[in-house]
Amino acid sequence: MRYDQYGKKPTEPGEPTEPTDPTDPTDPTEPSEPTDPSEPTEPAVRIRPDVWKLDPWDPTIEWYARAIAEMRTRSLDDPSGWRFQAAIHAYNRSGDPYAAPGDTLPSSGDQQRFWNQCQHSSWYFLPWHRMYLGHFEAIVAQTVEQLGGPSGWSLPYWNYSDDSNPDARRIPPAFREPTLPDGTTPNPLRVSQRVAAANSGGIVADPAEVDIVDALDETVFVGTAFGGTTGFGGPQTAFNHGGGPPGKLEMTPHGDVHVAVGGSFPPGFMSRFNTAGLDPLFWLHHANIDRMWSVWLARAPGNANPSENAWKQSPTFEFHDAAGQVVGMTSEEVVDSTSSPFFYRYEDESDPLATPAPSAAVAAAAAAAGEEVEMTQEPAEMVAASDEKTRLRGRAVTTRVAVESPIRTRRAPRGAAAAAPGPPQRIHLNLENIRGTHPVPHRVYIDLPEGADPDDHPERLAGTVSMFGLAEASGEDQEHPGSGLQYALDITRLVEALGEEWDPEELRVTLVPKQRPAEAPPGAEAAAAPAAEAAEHPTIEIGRISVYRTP
Amino acid sequence: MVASGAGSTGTMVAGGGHAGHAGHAAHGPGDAGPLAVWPTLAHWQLMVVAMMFPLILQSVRTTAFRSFAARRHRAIGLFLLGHLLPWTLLGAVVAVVIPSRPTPLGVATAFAVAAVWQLTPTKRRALVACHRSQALAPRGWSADRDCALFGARIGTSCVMSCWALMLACTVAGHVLPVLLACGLLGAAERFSWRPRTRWLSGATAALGVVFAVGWPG
Repeated sequence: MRYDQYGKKPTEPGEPTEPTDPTDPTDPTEPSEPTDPSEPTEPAVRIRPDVWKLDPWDPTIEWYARAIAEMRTRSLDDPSGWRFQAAIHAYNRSGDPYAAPGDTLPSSGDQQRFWNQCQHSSWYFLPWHRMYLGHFEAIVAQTVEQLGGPSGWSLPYWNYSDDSNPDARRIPPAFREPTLPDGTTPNPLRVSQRVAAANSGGIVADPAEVDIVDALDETVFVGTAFGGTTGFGGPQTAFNHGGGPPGKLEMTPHGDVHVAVGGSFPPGFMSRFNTAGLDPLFWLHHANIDRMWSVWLARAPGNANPSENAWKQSPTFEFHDAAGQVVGMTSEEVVDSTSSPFFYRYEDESDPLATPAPSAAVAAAAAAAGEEVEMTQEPAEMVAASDEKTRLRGRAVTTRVAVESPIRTRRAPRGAAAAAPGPPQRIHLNLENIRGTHPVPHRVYIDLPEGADPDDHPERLAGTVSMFGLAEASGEDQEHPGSGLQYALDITRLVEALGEEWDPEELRVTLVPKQRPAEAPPGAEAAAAPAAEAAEHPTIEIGRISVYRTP
Repeated sequence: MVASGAGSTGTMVAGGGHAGHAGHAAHGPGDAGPLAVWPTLAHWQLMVVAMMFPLILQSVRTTAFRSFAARRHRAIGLFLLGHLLPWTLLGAVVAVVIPSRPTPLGVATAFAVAAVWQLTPTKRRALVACHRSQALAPRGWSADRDCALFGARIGTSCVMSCWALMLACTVAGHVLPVLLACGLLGAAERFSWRPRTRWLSGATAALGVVFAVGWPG
């Protein structure tokens, strides 16, 4: 039996609700065990449900829609307002689609303190977004109650990587309907600033874009910004609003799903840092990313959060809670989602992969050899690099990367850890300083045969790069230095699979632009897209392509 | 008083004490020939190295790890030379035009300018630009060129971000407490990336008051 989010039948939206009975043992806002009234009590753990396992207009979803409609009426300087919440992630006045002359902006001090705070390409990516979602969820829950709904509303998650659900890579129906179930009220869950296929029910993401194997197989949380693995959670940084390579989970599926929903021509809400929070799907997408953090931690004994104080205790990120009070938090305060301050877990936090985690294999091999292995990232060495920039213009492009020293050495490859205790050698393909205006996702292949159709060679696919946030990362302003995007793709398995089937002096890297989703039902929106895409393909420039290996 | 102590026991970064300070003071505009500019410029350069190089460690690491191992030291050297170039140009101007004998009014004015500069959008953009990275050619003369240009680009952003604070240090005569305080301010804003500009501006102004009021003589 599936876990009920509320522990009881939720109230239908539009129906008045009775005040919560404080003695009701199933009320999630009350403790499940009798306690001393003089002692502070903790709320029960709520369940964040899988949106695809809810009815299309389950009360959780309909109340979300009604709360959003209410939050949209609040002014731009109201911390509980829809636009303020999106601006916490990122905001640019000149790119605000809802900007109006009558807007009341927060003071410049408050803007600097509370807006443009999102942490990307950083080991703070996961804890910061957990805090962000937690406070947003509390504000929505309070709004639901104010509208006469039940208490304890919980944010659903969108599991687009669910292989058992053929519709997983479509956006859920309630997010594309033009009206609420009453047939007349405009549906705030549907925004038009999405890729054409999204609102017409098409599949928006390729399987590779929602592939979670690389992320969940990562053995370390903290990565490096200098060519090697970027880790599950991202490289160690200070406060980092952007710039540098993202961690494995942030890269795929996080970035890919952003652009898969938002599109490229023009970039929709989800494709840009500055507008992503304006799409109601953003919050369900990030709930799933947050869920993957819990899944990864439970997947293998060696998977662990950073132990450094720099991660646990600094910096203090500030938000407004549902009461409008400023709350400061550090990473260590949110590592356990089931306890204070947020009290939730996900409907399904089980390991979705059939294969064991590589870290478990390494640990088993080390144990068999009577050794101890610490899962840490090692400094990587650049062994190959392109001499020229790579320019992408909507067609497949191949760049030749000259090899300076052997890409493989004597050490055991990843996946062969059982034969050789110790952290396995890792090889990463780096795409450095990518700049442009339109985030066109690309698939990256290694050593495709001349003239071959990339679709015929999935074994040569190194991964996908979404280009999420390309415009923001490329511009020089008060928030971004203009370095562009960076990616590090783990090609260890691919290199091993290729064996000796390549030129030791030169690596060929082919980037193939993502085609429009092919399974969209015919419709006006879908039909309009190809012409727009063909009309203009602004150049995306990759500063350098390089290969790094651990020593 | 902090500043009194600084004045009586203060140590020149370059001069090793009051002798150095006196030497600096002897080379103001109008009281020395062209050759007298060089000691002042040398003091400036040493101050830049002492205060700025720790702040650009991340860019140095980027240069190092984005280069092949065989040319790593060369890449770092070229980056640092490029970084020094814009600072040297500013130092040459400073050595010629800045009065070298510290006065309370001069110190207060210099810190007031620095405090105001902290609040400007240009300063904020420059500080963010200090965190820039760029692709480096991997081989040959183009790699050398890119490392030097990268250094010069970061150096230019550093000058735009920190010129007022460094100028205040110079006007104050390079005494150690001023250098330390300004160095801490510079580190706070560089390593936090999202500094509270009002807080930093206030701290800069407070330093100006402390050093001006407590200035010896």
